[in-house]
Amino acid sequence: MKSFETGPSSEQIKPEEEITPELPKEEGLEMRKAVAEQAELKPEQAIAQERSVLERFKGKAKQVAVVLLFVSALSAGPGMVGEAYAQETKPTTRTEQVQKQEKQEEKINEANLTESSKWSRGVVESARADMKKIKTAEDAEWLVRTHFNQLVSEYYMPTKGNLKEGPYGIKTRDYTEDDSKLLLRNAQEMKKVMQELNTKFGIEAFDKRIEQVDDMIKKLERQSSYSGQKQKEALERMEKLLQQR
Amino acid sequence: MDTNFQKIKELIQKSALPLAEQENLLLLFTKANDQDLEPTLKLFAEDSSWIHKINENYKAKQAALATGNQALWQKIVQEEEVQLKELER
Repeated sequence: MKSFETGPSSEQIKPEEEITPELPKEEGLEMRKAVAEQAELKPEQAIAQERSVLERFKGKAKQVAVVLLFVSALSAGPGMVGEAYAQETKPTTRTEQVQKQEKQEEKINEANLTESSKWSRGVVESARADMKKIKTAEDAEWLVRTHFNQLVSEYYMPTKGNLKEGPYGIKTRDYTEDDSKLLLRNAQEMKKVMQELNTKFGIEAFDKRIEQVDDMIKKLERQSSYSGQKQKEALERMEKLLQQR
Repeated sequence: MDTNFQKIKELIQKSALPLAEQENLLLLFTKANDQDLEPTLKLFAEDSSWIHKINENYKAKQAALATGNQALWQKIVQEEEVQLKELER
């Protein structure tokens, strides 16, 4: 029986950048917007497409189809992270704010970094360097499509580091705790770049992009806390959250 | 009485999924009404291998949605179709 473990090869699945090759800057923002809109996966259309394929099944297959569609609806829903978790992580007291600050300032042990995270430095450094040259909204959009998209794509669909082939042709990789910390730091830095650009020039689909990087940050915050005592604390935090339901 | 969510939580915690993935999958289900979780609970309770399969399906969908990758979404749906056809046999 074919299982979900088998999927298309990674070569068959191209990251967004490869599907929508970047246009030369001279082509103009309007043209780029048109290409972006054409290539963009719209959640409601994606679910409609999936439903049209899955709704004809019966019996046991229908039972599974219902769950698959349910997972899609939850994944595409407003916010990529449950409201309960969002509330739980929201700093409400000075102690929590201090704890969060301390966590962000945790030192990274360079010796424990691998190729799974080192790539992110170059992306953020390039974004910061290019930011100094940005003069127009069109330039800002170019920077976002070049550097921000690279950060998000490489995180969700990795091509660098210790790669393992997963289902659907998606490659996964292992992270050390320090890898997660470095990625977290760089994702937070990229968020600041986005916010600065938006303030100065306005960014297309700013809210959606911030939601993407916030989701990445939340995942990395959890990943970087999964060791020893921190793992215990994370599990206790999860238990507390679950008991509130 | 245990809620559907509580029962799903227990099944996921008994699974071999890494802890961070258990948490991610559970957080997905926190977004749902408890009643809507019934089909998922039934599926997981009948065959726990579905926990792993649904988790992989969720991760792939999340990657497609986060990167706006239409080609990946299409592949996911094609894989789902193949899988469901196998179940119909």
